[in-house]
Amino acid sequence: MRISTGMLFERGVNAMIRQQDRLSKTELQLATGERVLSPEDDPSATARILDLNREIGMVNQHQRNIERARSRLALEDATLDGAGNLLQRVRELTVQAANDSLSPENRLAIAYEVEQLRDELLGLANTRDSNGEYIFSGYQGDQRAWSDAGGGSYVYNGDQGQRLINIAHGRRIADGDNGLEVFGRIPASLDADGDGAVETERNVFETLTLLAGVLRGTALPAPGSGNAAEDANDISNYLREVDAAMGNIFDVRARVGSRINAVDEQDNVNQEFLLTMETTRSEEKDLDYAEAVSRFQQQLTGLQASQQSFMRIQDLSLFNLL
Amino acid sequence: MADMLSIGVSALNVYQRALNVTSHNVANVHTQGYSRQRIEPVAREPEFLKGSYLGSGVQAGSVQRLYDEFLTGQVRASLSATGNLESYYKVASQIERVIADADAGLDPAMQEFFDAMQGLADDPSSTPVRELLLAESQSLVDRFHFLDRNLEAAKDQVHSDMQSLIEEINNLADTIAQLNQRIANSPGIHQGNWPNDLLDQRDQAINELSSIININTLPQDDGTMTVFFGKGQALVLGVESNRFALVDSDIIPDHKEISYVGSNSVNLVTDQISGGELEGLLRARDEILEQGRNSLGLVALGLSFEVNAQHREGINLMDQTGLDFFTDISLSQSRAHTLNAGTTDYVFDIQVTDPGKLPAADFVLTYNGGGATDFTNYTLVNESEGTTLSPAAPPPGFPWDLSADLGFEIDLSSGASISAGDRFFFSPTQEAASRIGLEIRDPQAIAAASPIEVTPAGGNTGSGAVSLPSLEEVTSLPVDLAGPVTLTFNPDLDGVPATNDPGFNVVGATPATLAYDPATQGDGQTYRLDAGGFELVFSVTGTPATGDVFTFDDGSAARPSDNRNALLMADLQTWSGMLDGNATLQDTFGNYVAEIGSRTRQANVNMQAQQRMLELNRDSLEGVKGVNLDEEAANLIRYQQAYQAAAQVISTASTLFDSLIAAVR
Repeated sequence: MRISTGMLFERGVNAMIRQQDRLSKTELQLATGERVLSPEDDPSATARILDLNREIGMVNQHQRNIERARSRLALEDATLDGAGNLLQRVRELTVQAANDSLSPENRLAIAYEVEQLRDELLGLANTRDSNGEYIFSGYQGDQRAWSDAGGGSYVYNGDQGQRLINIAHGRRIADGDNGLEVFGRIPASLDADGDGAVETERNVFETLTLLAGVLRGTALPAPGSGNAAEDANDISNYLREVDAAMGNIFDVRARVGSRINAVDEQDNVNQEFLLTMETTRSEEKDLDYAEAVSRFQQQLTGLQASQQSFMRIQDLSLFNLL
Repeated sequence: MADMLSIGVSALNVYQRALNVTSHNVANVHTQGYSRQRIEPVAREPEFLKGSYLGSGVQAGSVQRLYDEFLTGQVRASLSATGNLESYYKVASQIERVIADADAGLDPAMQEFFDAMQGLADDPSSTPVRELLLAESQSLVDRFHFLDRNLEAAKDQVHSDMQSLIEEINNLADTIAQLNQRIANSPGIHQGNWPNDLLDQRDQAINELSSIININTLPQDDGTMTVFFGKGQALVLGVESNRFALVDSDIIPDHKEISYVGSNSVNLVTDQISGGELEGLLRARDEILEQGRNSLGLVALGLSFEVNAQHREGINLMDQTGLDFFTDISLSQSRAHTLNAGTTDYVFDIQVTDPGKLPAADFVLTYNGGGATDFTNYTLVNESEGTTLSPAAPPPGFPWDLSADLGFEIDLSSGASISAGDRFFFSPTQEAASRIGLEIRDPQAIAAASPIEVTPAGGNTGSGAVSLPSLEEVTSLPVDLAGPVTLTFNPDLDGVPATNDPGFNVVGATPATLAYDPATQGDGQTYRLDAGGFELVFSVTGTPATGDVFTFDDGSAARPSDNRNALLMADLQTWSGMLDGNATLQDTFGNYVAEIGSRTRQANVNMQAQQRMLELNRDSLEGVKGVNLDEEAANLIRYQQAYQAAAQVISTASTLFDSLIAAVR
C-alpha cells in the first residue's frame, strides 16, 4: 500500500500516544494501589465493591451495638450478683433470728441490719448506667425504678418496656429487664394488711420491711404479738418470700447470662463474617503489585522502542541525498 | 509544420509545469486535507504529411487531483462515529468519577446516616447521640445537594458545548456555501479543469462538519455540493446555507432543543440529529445526566418518604407525634407546554404514594379530548424511555389513583380550560434531590419511641400484667395500630367448663384467643399477635381475674429509653421495597452507578475501536491522495532531466539551423 509522508508521521506519533496512555494508567494504579480506578474499569466489580462496603459497614455497626449491649448486660449481671448476695445475707440473719435463744436486743439488731440491707437493695434497684439511665425502669429510664411510698409500701415507677438492640441482621437482643420482673412478683404467703385475705403478691422491699417489723415486734399492720410461736411462723413465711425473691433474681440472672453468651457468640460470628467480606473486597479492589509492576516494565520498554524507531525512520528521506 | 523547435518548446512548457506541480505538492506536504496533484501529459495531435503521421510534441493536459470518493465517504463516517463516542465518553467519565467516589459519593453518606440511626436505637435518651444523628442527616442532605448540583453543572456545560458546536456547524455551512459559489463560478470546470485547491478546502470543511454531525453529500452538475442531514433536509443547497439554533424546550424545564431554520420553515430536529459530537452530547445529557438526576431524586424521595412515614408514627421527648423528619418532597406539579391551546395555568398536582413503584423518569401527559376528568382520555408517556404507559385506569374524577402501577396520584390543582392536544410535563424525581432538607432541628424532637402502649383497664382486679410490646416481623412500613387491640381474660375459652383452658379473647388482632394458664405460666409467657403488617410481641405474667381487660393503643406519653421507633427507622437500611420490591435505597443508586460504569466502559471500548477504524480509513485515503516526499523528490529528478533533455533538443535545433545557414553562405 502506498504510504504518504504525512501518514508516516501520524502512525509513529499515534503509536507513541497510545503507549503513553497505557503507561500512565498503569502508573496511576501503582501509585494508588487500586485496581479499579473508576467504574468503567470494571463495572461489575464496582457494583460488588459497593455492596461489600455496605455489608461491612452494617456489620461494623452491629459490632458497636454489641459493645453497648454487652456493657449494659455486664452491669445488670453485676448488680444482680450484688442483690443476690444481699438477700443471702438476709436469709442468714433470718435463720439466726428464728432461733428462739436470741434475746430481744439481738433480734432488734438483726431487724436493724435487715432494714439496712433493704435500703442497700433499693439502691441497687435504682442503679444507673453511664448515661444516667435507670437500668431497671423499662422505658422510663429517667425515673427511679423503685421508691418508698411511705407506710411500708414501695412502688414501681417504671414500665414494662424492654429495649432491644440489633446485633445482626434480623437478630435482636434485650439489653435489660424491668424492675417489676426482678424485684416484684413475690407471691405473698401471709396476710400483712390484716384484711383477712392473703395478698396476691408483693415486692421484695415490702417483704423485707415486714420481716424487720416482725423482728422489732412492730410488724405492720398486723401487730407482732410478741408471742414467740406466732412470730416464728411469720418469720418462716417471710423467709419463704425472701427465697422466692432470690429465686426471681437467679432466674433473671440466668437469662442475662444466656444473653451475654448469645452476644459473645454473635460477636465471633460477626468477626468471621467481617474477615471474609474484607478479604473478598480486597480481592476485587486491590492491585496485584507483581502483575502491575511487570506490566509497567513491559509498557515502558514498548514506549522507548516506539520513540527510538520513530527517530530512525524520520531520518530517511530522498531529499537528504539530492 | 511541427519541427524540432516547436516540439522542444512544447516539452519545455510541459516539464516546467510538471516541476511547478511537483513543487506545489512538496510545499503542501503537511497541509490539512490537501490532495496531491499531477500533470498527465498528452501527446499532441499528429500531422498527416506525405503519407505518414508525424508527432508534434506534447501538451500538458489538465492538472489532476488524486482523490477517492468512496474512501472519503468512509473517513467521514468514521469521523462521525468517533466524534460521537468521544464526546459521550468525555461527559460520562467525568460524572462517574464523582458519583462513585469512595468518600464523596452517595453511599458513604447513607451509611453514616444509618449508623447514626442505629446509634439512636442503642441510646435513645442520650442528647449527644441525637445531635450526632441530626449532624449526619444534614450531611446526607448536603451530599444529595452536592451531587445534584454536579449533575446540573455538567448539564449546563453540555448545553454550552452544544451551543459552540452549533455555531461551528453554521460557520462551516456558510464556508461550504461560499466555496460552492467560487467553484461554480470558476472558468473551465465544464471542460474538466477544476480548481483543485478550492475542492480540497471544501472537502476539509465537510470533514470537519462530519465529526460534528452525520451528513450526506451529493455533487451537483453545476459544481456545487449539496449537504444533507437527518432525513434529507438540506444544510447547504447550492450557494445557500441553512442554520441550526439551540432553543429552550417548550415543555421540559432547563432543557434545550435543536431547531433548524430552513428556507420556509422552522422546526425542531433534535431527534433527527444522528452521529457526530452533537448527538454524543445529546445522548450523554439524556442517558447520563438527566437519568442521573432522576435516579438520585428517586433515592432522595424514597428515603424522605419512608423515614417520614415511620417517624410520624413515633413519639418524641416532647410528647409530640406526627412530625416529619425530612422535608416532605412527595408533592410536585406539572408544567404546561408553551404552545398549549388551553390556558397555561392548567396545573396538575402529582402526589407520590409509593416510592417503590415509582420509576426514575420524566413523564408527559397529553389530553386527547372528550372529558377532562377521565384518565382514559389522556395518553401518558414515559419520556425518558419513550414508551407509552397503560396503567390500570382509575374511575373518572380527580384524583386519579395510579399507585398500584406507578406509585403516584394525579389531582387537578388549578386550571380553567384544557384543549385536545395539550401536553403537560411532570417528573416527581427530577427536583427531589435538590429539594430534600432536614425538618427536625431539635434533638429532643426526634421520635425514637413508639407510642404503642398497653393499659390495664381501671376496673381490673387481678394481678396479671402485660408487658409493653416490641414491634417485630414488620412486613410493611410504617408501623401503626389501626385501632385498639384488647385482651380480655376468660377462664374458660371454649365455653366448656370441663376443659381447663384459661386465656385471653383478642379483639383487633389475630389469633382471636391466646391460651394462658396463670397457674403454670404465671412466671411469664411470651405471645405474638398479628396486628396487620407487624407483630406485637409481649409477655404476660401474674394472675388476671375474669374479665380483666388490657388494651394496646397509641398513647401520648414519651418514654425516654424507648427505642422501638428508632429500631424501625434503622431497619429502613435493609428495606428492599424500591424498584418494585427489588432494591434497597442504597441499591437504587448503586444500580445507576453500575449502569454508568458499564455505559462508560462500552463507550470507551467502542471509541477506541472507532479511532482505530478512523486511522485505517485515513491511511487508505492518504495512500491515494497523500504526498510522499520521496516520490516527489524522484519526480523532481525525472522532470528536471526531461527539461534538460528538451533544452538540449532546442539547442540541437539551433545547431542544425546554424549549420544550415553556414551551408548556404
